[in-house]
Amino acid sequence: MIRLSVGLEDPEDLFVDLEQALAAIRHPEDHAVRHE
Amino acid sequence: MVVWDRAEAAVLFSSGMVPLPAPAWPFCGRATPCSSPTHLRRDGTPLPPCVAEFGITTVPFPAGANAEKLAALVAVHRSPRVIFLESPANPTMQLCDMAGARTVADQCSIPDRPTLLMVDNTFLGPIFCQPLALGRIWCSTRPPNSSVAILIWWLAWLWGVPKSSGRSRPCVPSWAPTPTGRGLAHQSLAGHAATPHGATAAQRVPSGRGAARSPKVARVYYPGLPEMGESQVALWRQQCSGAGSVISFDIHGGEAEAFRVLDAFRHIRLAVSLGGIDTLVEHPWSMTHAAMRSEQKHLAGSAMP
Repeated sequence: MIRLSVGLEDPEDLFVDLEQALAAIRHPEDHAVRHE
Repeated sequence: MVVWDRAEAAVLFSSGMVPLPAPAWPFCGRATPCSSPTHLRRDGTPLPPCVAEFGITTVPFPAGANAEKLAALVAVHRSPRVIFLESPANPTMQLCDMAGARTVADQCSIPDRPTLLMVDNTFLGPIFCQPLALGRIWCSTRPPNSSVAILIWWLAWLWGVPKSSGRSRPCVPSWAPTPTGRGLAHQSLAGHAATPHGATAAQRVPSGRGAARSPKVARVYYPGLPEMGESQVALWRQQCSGAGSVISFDIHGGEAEAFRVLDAFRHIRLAVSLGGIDTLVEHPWSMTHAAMRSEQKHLAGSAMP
Protein backbone atom coordinates (compact mmCIF):
# COMPACT_ATOMS: atom_id res chain seq x y z
CA MET A 1 0.00 0.00 0.00
CA ILE A 2 1.16 3.50 -0.86
CA ARG A 3 -0.32 6.66 0.68
CA LEU A 4 -0.46 9.86 -1.33
CA SER A 5 -1.17 13.29 0.18
CA VAL A 6 -2.09 15.45 -2.77
CA GLY A 7 -0.97 19.07 -2.61
CA LEU A 8 -1.61 22.14 -4.70
CA GLU A 9 0.65 21.42 -7.65
CA ASP A 10 -0.71 21.14 -11.17
CA PRO A 11 -2.46 17.76 -11.23
CA GLU A 12 -1.03 17.04 -14.67
CA ASP A 13 2.49 17.19 -13.22
CA LEU A 14 1.44 14.65 -10.60
CA PHE A 15 -0.12 12.35 -13.16
CA VAL A 16 3.02 12.43 -15.28
CA ASP A 17 5.17 11.69 -12.24
CA LEU A 18 2.97 8.82 -11.12
CA GLU A 19 2.79 7.38 -14.59
CA GLN A 20 6.54 7.26 -14.92
CA ALA A 21 6.86 5.88 -11.37
CA LEU A 22 4.44 3.06 -12.14
CA ALA A 23 6.46 2.34 -15.24
CA ALA A 24 9.23 1.21 -12.91
CA ILE A 25 7.34 -2.01 -12.20
CA ARG A 26 6.20 -4.72 -14.53
CA HIS A 27 2.64 -5.32 -15.65
CA PRO A 28 0.85 -8.01 -13.56
CA GLU A 29 0.63 -10.21 -16.63
CA ASP A 30 4.42 -10.09 -16.77
CA HIS A 31 4.45 -11.53 -13.25
CA ALA A 32 2.09 -14.27 -14.36
CA VAL A 33 4.31 -15.14 -17.30
CA ARG A 34 7.36 -15.19 -15.04
CA HIS A 35 5.71 -17.61 -12.61
CA GLU A 36 4.41 -19.98 -15.23
CA MET B 1 -11.17 26.75 15.03
CA VAL B 2 -14.11 27.47 17.29
CA VAL B 3 -15.96 28.67 14.22
CA TRP B 4 -14.88 25.91 11.86
CA ASP B 5 -15.26 23.09 14.32
CA ARG B 6 -18.37 24.65 15.83
CA ALA B 7 -16.90 24.05 19.25
CA GLU B 8 -17.29 25.88 22.50
CA ALA B 9 -13.56 26.46 22.59
CA ALA B 10 -10.39 25.29 20.92
CA VAL B 11 -6.79 24.71 21.89
CA LEU B 12 -4.07 25.13 19.28
CA PHE B 13 -0.75 23.32 19.36
CA SER B 14 2.23 22.58 17.20
CA SER B 15 2.46 19.31 15.31
CA GLY B 16 3.49 16.00 16.77
CA MET B 17 2.28 12.46 17.33
CA VAL B 18 3.66 12.02 20.83
CA PRO B 19 0.81 13.81 22.61
CA LEU B 20 -1.78 11.34 21.36
CA PRO B 21 -1.69 9.69 24.78
CA ALA B 22 -2.37 13.03 26.46
CA PRO B 23 -6.12 12.37 26.76
CA ALA B 24 -5.35 9.28 28.83
CA TRP B 25 -3.60 11.07 31.65
CA PRO B 26 -6.77 12.25 33.39
CA PHE B 27 -7.71 8.59 33.80
CA CYS B 28 -4.48 7.57 35.49
CA GLY B 29 -4.95 5.51 38.62
CA ARG B 30 -8.64 4.98 38.02
CA ALA B 31 -8.22 1.39 36.83
CA THR B 32 -10.79 1.76 34.10
CA PRO B 33 -10.55 0.50 30.54
CA CYS B 34 -10.01 2.92 27.73
CA SER B 35 -11.14 1.67 24.35
CA SER B 36 -9.16 2.94 21.45
CA PRO B 37 -8.78 2.35 17.75
CA THR B 38 -5.87 0.85 15.97
CA HIS B 39 -3.20 3.42 15.44
CA LEU B 40 0.49 3.90 15.09
CA ARG B 41 2.00 2.23 18.12
CA ARG B 42 3.32 -1.29 18.40
CA ASP B 43 0.27 -2.55 20.26
CA GLY B 44 -2.09 -0.87 17.82
CA THR B 45 -3.36 1.79 20.19
CA PRO B 46 -2.62 5.50 20.42
CA LEU B 47 -1.33 5.03 23.95
CA PRO B 48 2.17 3.99 25.05
CA PRO B 49 2.55 0.66 26.87
CA CYS B 50 3.44 2.44 30.11
CA VAL B 51 -0.18 3.50 30.61
CA ALA B 52 -0.85 0.02 31.99
CA GLU B 53 1.26 0.99 34.98
CA PHE B 54 -1.24 3.75 35.63
CA GLY B 55 -4.25 1.48 35.62
CA ILE B 56 -5.30 2.12 32.04
CA THR B 57 -6.27 -0.74 29.75
CA THR B 58 -6.62 -0.26 26.03
CA VAL B 59 -8.78 -2.39 23.76
CA PRO B 60 -8.03 -2.02 20.05
CA PHE B 61 -10.78 -2.56 17.52
CA PRO B 62 -10.68 -2.80 13.72
CA ALA B 63 -10.53 0.28 11.56
CA GLY B 64 -13.97 1.22 10.30
CA ALA B 65 -15.78 -0.55 13.14
CA ASN B 66 -19.53 0.06 13.11
CA ALA B 67 -21.83 0.61 16.08
CA GLU B 68 -22.64 -3.08 16.39
CA LYS B 69 -18.98 -4.00 16.71
CA LEU B 70 -18.41 -1.24 19.23
CA ALA B 71 -21.45 -2.31 21.25
CA ALA B 72 -20.18 -5.88 21.31
CA LEU B 73 -16.80 -4.66 22.48
CA VAL B 74 -18.32 -2.52 25.20
CA ALA B 75 -20.44 -5.46 26.35
CA VAL B 76 -17.24 -7.35 27.12
CA HIS B 77 -15.21 -4.43 28.42
CA ARG B 78 -17.85 -2.62 30.44
CA SER B 79 -18.00 1.10 30.97
CA PRO B 80 -15.01 2.31 29.03
CA ARG B 81 -14.02 5.84 29.89
CA VAL B 82 -13.16 6.71 26.33
CA ILE B 83 -14.07 5.48 22.87
CA PHE B 84 -11.37 6.80 20.58
CA LEU B 85 -12.08 6.78 16.86
CA GLU B 86 -9.78 7.50 13.98
CA SER B 87 -12.02 8.39 11.05
CA PRO B 88 -10.95 8.21 8.29
CA ALA B 89 -8.45 5.59 9.37
CA ASN B 90 -4.86 6.02 8.34
CA PRO B 91 -4.01 4.73 5.75
CA THR B 92 -7.06 2.70 4.71
CA MET B 93 -9.48 5.66 4.74
CA GLN B 94 -12.13 3.57 6.50
CA LEU B 95 -14.79 5.71 8.16
CA CYS B 96 -16.20 4.93 11.57
CA ASP B 97 -19.87 5.35 12.37
CA MET B 98 -19.50 8.37 14.63
CA ALA B 99 -23.19 8.73 15.37
CA GLY B 100 -23.36 5.05 16.26
CA ALA B 101 -20.32 5.40 18.47
CA ARG B 102 -21.98 8.40 20.14
CA THR B 103 -25.01 6.22 20.90
CA VAL B 104 -22.83 3.41 22.26
CA ALA B 105 -20.95 5.89 24.43
CA ASP B 106 -24.21 7.24 25.82
CA GLN B 107 -25.52 3.76 26.49
CA CYS B 108 -22.48 2.71 28.48
CA SER B 109 -22.18 5.97 30.39
CA ILE B 110 -23.12 5.88 34.02
CA PRO B 111 -24.15 8.82 36.21
CA ASP B 112 -21.27 11.14 37.04
CA ARG B 113 -18.96 9.11 34.82
CA PRO B 114 -19.73 9.64 31.16
CA THR B 115 -17.97 7.70 28.46
CA LEU B 116 -16.20 10.23 26.29
CA LEU B 117 -16.08 9.94 22.53
CA MET B 118 -12.86 11.22 21.02
CA VAL B 119 -12.47 11.53 17.27
CA ASP B 120 -9.26 11.96 15.32
CA ASN B 121 -10.41 13.16 11.90
CA THR B 122 -7.13 14.61 10.70
CA PHE B 123 -7.80 13.72 7.07
CA LEU B 124 -11.10 15.60 6.79
CA GLY B 125 -11.70 17.99 9.64
CA PRO B 126 -12.84 20.50 10.32
CA ILE B 127 -13.68 21.49 6.75
CA PHE B 128 -15.22 18.29 5.47
CA CYS B 129 -16.28 16.62 8.68
CA GLN B 130 -17.36 18.10 12.00
CA PRO B 131 -17.69 15.38 14.62
CA LEU B 132 -18.58 17.96 17.25
CA ALA B 133 -21.95 18.37 15.58
CA LEU B 134 -22.87 15.05 17.16
CA GLY B 135 -22.38 16.58 20.59
CA ARG B 136 -20.32 15.72 23.63
CA ILE B 137 -17.24 14.84 21.65
CA TRP B 138 -13.63 15.73 22.11
CA CYS B 139 -12.45 16.21 18.58
CA SER B 140 -8.82 16.03 17.58
CA THR B 141 -7.83 16.57 14.02
CA ARG B 142 -4.20 17.04 14.84
CA PRO B 143 -2.63 16.00 18.12
CA PRO B 144 -1.10 18.54 20.44
CA ASN B 145 2.57 18.37 21.23
CA SER B 146 5.03 18.55 24.11
CA SER B 147 4.62 18.47 27.83
CA VAL B 148 3.15 21.94 27.59
CA ALA B 149 0.36 20.47 25.50
CA ILE B 150 -0.30 17.88 28.17
CA LEU B 151 -0.49 20.64 30.75
CA ILE B 152 -2.91 22.58 28.57
CA TRP B 153 -4.87 19.43 27.94
CA TRP B 154 -5.23 19.06 31.68
CA LEU B 155 -6.48 22.62 31.95
CA ALA B 156 -8.90 22.01 29.08
CA TRP B 157 -10.05 18.86 30.77
CA LEU B 158 -10.64 20.59 34.09
CA TRP B 159 -12.42 23.41 32.34
CA GLY B 160 -14.36 21.47 29.76
CA VAL B 161 -15.54 18.21 31.20
CA PRO B 162 -17.52 19.54 34.15
CA LYS B 163 -19.45 21.69 31.73
CA SER B 164 -19.80 19.20 28.93
CA SER B 165 -20.34 15.89 30.67
CA GLY B 166 -23.97 16.71 31.35
CA ARG B 167 -26.39 15.56 28.71
CA SER B 168 -27.63 19.09 28.25
CA ARG B 169 -24.25 20.37 27.04
CA PRO B 170 -23.77 19.48 23.39
CA CYS B 171 -20.21 20.57 22.72
CA VAL B 172 -16.80 20.38 24.25
CA PRO B 173 -13.45 21.90 23.36
CA SER B 174 -11.66 20.86 20.25
CA TRP B 175 -8.01 20.46 19.50
CA ALA B 176 -6.05 22.01 16.71
CA PRO B 177 -6.81 20.59 13.26
CA THR B 178 -3.42 21.37 11.83
CA PRO B 179 -0.03 22.54 12.99
CA THR B 180 -0.44 26.07 14.17
CA GLY B 181 2.77 27.08 12.47
CA ARG B 182 1.25 26.40 9.07
CA GLY B 183 -1.47 28.91 9.77
CA LEU B 184 -5.21 28.73 9.75
CA ALA B 185 -5.45 30.40 6.37
CA HIS B 186 -3.24 27.70 4.95
CA GLN B 187 -5.47 25.04 6.46
CA SER B 188 -8.48 26.52 4.76
CA LEU B 189 -6.72 27.10 1.46
CA ALA B 190 -5.05 23.73 1.33
CA GLY B 191 -8.15 21.89 2.43
CA HIS B 192 -10.40 23.46 -0.13
CA ALA B 193 -7.93 23.72 -2.97
CA ALA B 194 -6.35 20.30 -2.69
CA THR B 195 -9.59 18.38 -2.43
CA PRO B 196 -10.56 18.69 -6.10
CA HIS B 197 -7.04 17.51 -6.87
CA GLY B 198 -7.54 14.63 -4.46
CA ALA B 199 -10.87 13.67 -5.96
CA THR B 200 -9.43 13.81 -9.43
CA ALA B 201 -6.37 11.93 -8.34
CA ALA B 202 -8.45 9.18 -6.75
CA GLN B 203 -9.83 8.51 -10.19
CA ARG B 204 -6.77 9.27 -12.27
CA VAL B 205 -3.52 9.20 -10.32
CA PRO B 206 -3.35 5.44 -10.06
CA SER B 207 -3.81 5.29 -13.80
CA GLY B 208 -1.51 8.09 -14.83
CA ARG B 209 -2.84 10.18 -17.72
CA GLY B 210 -4.87 7.40 -19.21
CA ALA B 211 -8.62 7.15 -18.83
CA ALA B 212 -8.60 3.65 -17.39
CA ARG B 213 -6.99 2.61 -14.16
CA SER B 214 -3.58 1.12 -14.53
CA PRO B 215 -3.56 -2.68 -14.24
CA LYS B 216 -0.59 -2.22 -11.94
CA VAL B 217 -2.92 -0.70 -9.33
CA ALA B 218 -4.82 -3.35 -7.40
CA ARG B 219 -7.09 -1.13 -5.31
CA VAL B 220 -7.71 2.52 -4.40
CA TYR B 221 -8.75 3.72 -0.94
CA TYR B 222 -10.57 7.06 -0.88
CA PRO B 223 -13.72 8.13 1.00
CA GLY B 224 -16.84 7.83 -1.10
CA LEU B 225 -15.36 5.61 -3.82
CA PRO B 226 -17.74 2.73 -4.67
CA GLU B 227 -14.98 0.19 -4.14
CA MET B 228 -14.85 1.23 -0.46
CA GLY B 229 -18.14 -0.66 -0.08
CA GLU B 230 -21.77 0.37 0.21
CA SER B 231 -21.71 0.90 3.96
CA GLN B 232 -18.60 3.09 3.71
CA VAL B 233 -20.11 5.16 0.92
CA ALA B 234 -23.29 5.58 2.98
CA LEU B 235 -21.26 6.71 5.99
CA TRP B 236 -19.32 9.14 3.84
CA ARG B 237 -22.52 10.68 2.49
CA GLN B 238 -23.93 10.88 6.00
CA GLN B 239 -20.90 12.26 7.80
CA CYS B 240 -18.77 14.17 5.31
CA SER B 241 -19.11 17.05 2.89
CA GLY B 242 -15.91 16.25 1.00
CA ALA B 243 -13.33 13.52 0.64
CA GLY B 244 -10.08 15.35 1.26
CA SER B 245 -6.76 15.02 -0.46
CA VAL B 246 -5.29 11.82 0.96
CA ILE B 247 -5.42 8.68 -1.16
CA SER B 248 -4.03 5.22 -0.62
CA PHE B 249 -3.61 2.52 -3.20
CA ASP B 250 -2.26 -0.99 -3.51
CA ILE B 251 -0.10 -2.01 -6.39
CA HIS B 252 0.23 -5.55 -7.65
CA GLY B 253 3.22 -7.38 -6.31
CA GLY B 254 4.50 -6.61 -2.86
CA GLU B 255 6.92 -4.52 -0.91
CA ALA B 256 9.63 -4.72 -3.55
CA GLU B 257 7.29 -3.36 -6.23
CA ALA B 258 6.06 -0.62 -3.88
CA PHE B 259 9.63 0.41 -3.13
CA ARG B 260 10.48 0.55 -6.83
CA VAL B 261 7.55 2.88 -7.44
CA LEU B 262 8.49 5.06 -4.47
CA ASP B 263 12.10 5.27 -5.63
CA ALA B 264 10.99 6.27 -9.11
CA PHE B 265 9.09 9.42 -8.17
CA ARG B 266 10.81 12.56 -9.39
CA HIS B 267 8.44 15.37 -8.42
CA ILE B 268 6.42 13.82 -5.59
CA ARG B 269 8.53 13.61 -2.47
CA LEU B 270 8.86 10.69 -0.08
CA ALA B 271 7.78 11.93 3.36
CA VAL B 272 5.37 10.84 6.09
CA SER B 273 3.58 14.14 6.62
CA LEU B 274 0.29 15.05 4.98
CA GLY B 275 -2.19 17.83 4.45
CA GLY B 276 0.37 20.34 3.21
CA ILE B 277 0.68 22.20 -0.05
CA ASP B 278 3.26 19.73 -1.40
CA THR B 279 2.31 16.32 -2.68
CA LEU B 280 3.93 13.65 -0.54
CA VAL B 281 4.04 9.90 -0.83
CA GLU B 282 4.89 7.25 1.72
CA HIS B 283 4.82 3.52 2.42
CA PRO B 284 2.74 3.07 5.61
CA TRP B 285 3.78 -0.53 6.22
CA SER B 286 7.44 0.40 6.62
CA MET B 287 7.18 4.08 7.56
CA THR B 288 4.30 5.58 9.56
CA HIS B 289 3.06 2.20 10.78
CA ALA B 290 6.42 0.46 11.06
CA ALA B 291 6.19 0.22 14.85
CA MET B 292 2.98 -1.80 14.72
CA ARG B 293 3.10 -5.58 14.80
CA SER B 294 2.01 -7.34 11.61
CA GLU B 295 -1.24 -8.59 13.16
CA GLN B 296 -2.09 -5.06 14.24
CA LYS B 297 -1.40 -3.79 10.74
CA HIS B 298 -3.82 -6.37 9.41
CA LEU B 299 -6.37 -5.32 12.06
CA ALA B 300 -5.94 -1.76 10.88
CA GLY B 301 -6.62 -2.92 7.35
CA SER B 302 -3.10 -2.45 6.00
CA ALA B 303 -3.11 -5.94 4.63
CA MET B 304 -0.79 -5.34 1.74
CA PRO B 305 2.81 -4.29 2.31
